[in-house]
Amino acid sequence: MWRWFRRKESELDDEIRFHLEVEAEERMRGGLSPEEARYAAHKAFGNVAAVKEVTRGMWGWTSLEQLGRDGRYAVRALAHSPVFAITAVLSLGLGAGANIASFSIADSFLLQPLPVADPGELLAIHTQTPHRPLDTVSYPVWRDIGSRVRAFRGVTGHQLTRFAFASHSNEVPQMRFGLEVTDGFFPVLGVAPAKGRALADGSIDEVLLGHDFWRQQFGADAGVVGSTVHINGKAFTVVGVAPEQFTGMDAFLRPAFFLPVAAANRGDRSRTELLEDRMQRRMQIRARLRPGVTKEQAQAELTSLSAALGAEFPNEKESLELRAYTELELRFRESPQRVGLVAALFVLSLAVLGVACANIAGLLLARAGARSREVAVRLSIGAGAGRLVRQFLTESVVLSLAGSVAGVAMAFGAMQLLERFQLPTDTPIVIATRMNSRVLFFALGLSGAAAMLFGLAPALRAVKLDILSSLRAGEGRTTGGHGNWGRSALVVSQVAVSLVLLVTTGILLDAFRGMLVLNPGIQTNHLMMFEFDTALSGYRPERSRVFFDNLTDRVRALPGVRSATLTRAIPFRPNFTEQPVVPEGFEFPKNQTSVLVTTNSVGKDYFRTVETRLIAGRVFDDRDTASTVPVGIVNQEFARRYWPGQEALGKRFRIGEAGQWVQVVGVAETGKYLVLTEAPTPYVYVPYAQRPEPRMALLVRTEGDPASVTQPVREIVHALDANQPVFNVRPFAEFYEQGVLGMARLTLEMVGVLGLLGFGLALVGLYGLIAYTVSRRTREIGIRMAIGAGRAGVVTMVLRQALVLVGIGVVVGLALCVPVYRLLGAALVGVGGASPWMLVLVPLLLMITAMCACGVPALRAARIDPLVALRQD
Amino acid sequence: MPPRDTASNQIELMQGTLDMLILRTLQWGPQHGHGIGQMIRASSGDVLQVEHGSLYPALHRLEKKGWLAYEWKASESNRRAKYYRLTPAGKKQLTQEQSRWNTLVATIARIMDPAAEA
Repeated sequence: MWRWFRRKESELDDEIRFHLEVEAEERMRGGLSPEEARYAAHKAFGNVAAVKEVTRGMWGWTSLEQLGRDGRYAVRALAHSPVFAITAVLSLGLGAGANIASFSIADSFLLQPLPVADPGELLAIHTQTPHRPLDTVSYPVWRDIGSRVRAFRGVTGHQLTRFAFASHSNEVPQMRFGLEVTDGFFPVLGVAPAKGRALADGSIDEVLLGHDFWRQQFGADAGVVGSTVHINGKAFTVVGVAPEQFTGMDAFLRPAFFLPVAAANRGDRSRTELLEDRMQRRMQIRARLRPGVTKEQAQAELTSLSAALGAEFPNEKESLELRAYTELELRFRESPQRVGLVAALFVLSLAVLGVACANIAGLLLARAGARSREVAVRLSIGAGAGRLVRQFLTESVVLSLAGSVAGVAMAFGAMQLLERFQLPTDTPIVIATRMNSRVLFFALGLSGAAAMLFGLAPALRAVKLDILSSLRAGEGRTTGGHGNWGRSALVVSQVAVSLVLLVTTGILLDAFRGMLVLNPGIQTNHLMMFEFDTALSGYRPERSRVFFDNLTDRVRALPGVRSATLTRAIPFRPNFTEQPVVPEGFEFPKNQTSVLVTTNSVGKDYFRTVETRLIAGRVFDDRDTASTVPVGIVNQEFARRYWPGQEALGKRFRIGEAGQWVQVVGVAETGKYLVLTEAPTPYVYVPYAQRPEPRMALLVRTEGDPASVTQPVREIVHALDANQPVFNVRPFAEFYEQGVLGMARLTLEMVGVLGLLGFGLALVGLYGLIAYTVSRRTREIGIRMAIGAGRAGVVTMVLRQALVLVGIGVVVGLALCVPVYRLLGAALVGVGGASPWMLVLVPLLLMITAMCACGVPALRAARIDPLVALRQD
Repeated sequence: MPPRDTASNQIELMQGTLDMLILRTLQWGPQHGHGIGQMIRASSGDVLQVEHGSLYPALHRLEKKGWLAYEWKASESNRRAKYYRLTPAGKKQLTQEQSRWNTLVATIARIMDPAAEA
């Protein structure tokens, strides 16, 4: 822009110089000396500077210059009323800051695109089954999509798996997440390794390190490329390092390394099945569209492929229905809770911003009232109304820019706080909220919109003034009894918005506080957890069983240990497996032959160790072995749902539609399994002895400090097998506090802060607005007193008028609460009813504020001498 | 206001006509600012004196409207000069203004001298 201006300027100089020279030459030909000719040419031309000035005016720069002038004027005007400016900037800063923080959370949860080339071309492909609306896809089907769907340029699959990783064969392996990827993963995504090369197609013994892992584990040593590492006991060659920005395919879980899914062929039998079994639907598929092909065309091909595969493999139990989603659609479907959290934060922060805007609009209106004389003068000396509106708007824009700078600063602080928050697992979960261009763009758009919102109305109002009357009357009378519709509306909307804000905050606080006091169904103190995965060290099932039996026997014998048990699933950790279960005698809805129920393999002493109450029957004990009748324990909810009104003990169910019958020997109390706010969920326990698993957690109930058994347990493990990795070693209470309650507490704090913020802003704004309105009426009150109105009468009148406005606001606000409440209830699990105290307390507080706000200035007005009040200008 | 040193037999240009005259002049081919001024004066038989104070702003205004384009090239005296030429839009504008001007002249003439009509 500036360069353009400079070029224009020098061209203009050249043009005029040329003119003068030609003119002078002509005069020289006419007989003048060069000196005289030049002089005459200049004289004939006139004032060069003035001509240039007028010419420049033709370039369309005047409006920009005016803008600059308006800006300077606005800054000066704001500097003249610092209290107003600071209040406005702070209000807007808080409002904008809350929104920017919410947006950046939304951004990191939902919006951040995959760190790959042209993420917009990628589609995610999942399959639908009657049980699972969003299921992953099997390896053979990945191959089918790649070879039979023409809409895609490339198709790739991946899945996160735990591996035992060791840099040397004699090192104790550590548990790490690796991303198993199909051929073509890196080229299809367009990710080029930072070091070395990508995995070769068809290789089964190559590994590519993640950038973070490479730095932590190998100190960013480039020499590691080409060396050998051990994964699940097998040798792999490091062929490269992923670029820093490619952190995997999940926003939170970052894999330590990438390895070919085909490497499963070198593992045990259960892993080999992964590559052939069409029922092992575990691959996340991403496909890159060919240029010019639409998602709909791809979907049409996928639909016909699903039908074809259904015909080719009729004995697959669950039909295949392939669906293409954009990344954003997928994220919305995958985690409605995240969407709910984001929605709740947005509702709140938008309400805070609304209150802030109302505050500023009130302030600006007041200012516009106070400036009516200035406006009148400027109008009467010929300023156009449009010009004045622009001036006022410029002031709002300057305010909003300052506000958004303050907002960005505050949001930045809030995000630093969020970044400190870490989930207590060995898993590298990263909440990466970042200031990025999207966030800043959002901030600017938001403050621009806010400026329009709160700037336009006062500006329009100001220029509609009757010039003559406001010149004559000065500032005092223009805001008399009539024509205050705008300000009344503002008071009403201010009250309404703050009511919505507060009730929403209250609902959310109630919901999250409810989480903190909920009974998790297990006793979390004096409980220590250890995790093992014997498959990682290549144990056969028999060896694994012996290892776990020995382990629990020896741990039980440790001093200070009350009991110890094995469990496949750790409560509140999302690593449950839901399995199709067929409860005997249950009548299924049409087209359904089983229900999905979470099942857990637990050792004996489980219920005693976690202290979950058994309602009826017995716990698992040494009677239950691999050779005896399969037994199981269901929770009350299971019994209630599938055998309503019947005795559950002695009933049977199958796990898997063709599974053996399992006899119910006990009924356990329904607890919380995944989140504290979940609805009662059916749950099934089976004995470890009858359903052994390679991956188990050891839970130890101790007499004293749970951490005191850490070392003894490690020693026992070391004595059993020096190469057996132990991971996620921590007191259960710590995991529970931080991992389960921490999230709730964090949300609670955020919501609470937002709510308080909004409330503070609302009260200040309401007070200011009403107090200002009343103080404008000092003169009117003086007149009323002078003609005989009593002091009490005047104060009552003012109070009554204010209370009517606040009352209307309360009614409007309560009406608005209904849809907001519906929205929250739909988006967020565990939102209970609005408790009555909020519906009473909040309006009451607003009323009291309003009364103080008009009471104080009204009393002051009533107390002054009517004569002074009348003279007041 | 530009200095008023014009001879008494010269008349001032009517508002808005300068644009038209510039466009008309450029119909003969590309010309620089000085040349345009000279040509207008010459073709008016020295009656019309174009003020430089309004000529250059007018040129820049017409350029901004897209009716004129320019390029820098060597002048007759072999100096670098800014040559303006008509754009297609400018040509269209000229025909429009010309017809409007004709109507205006005819109308004013009718009012000033109603007898000539009959």
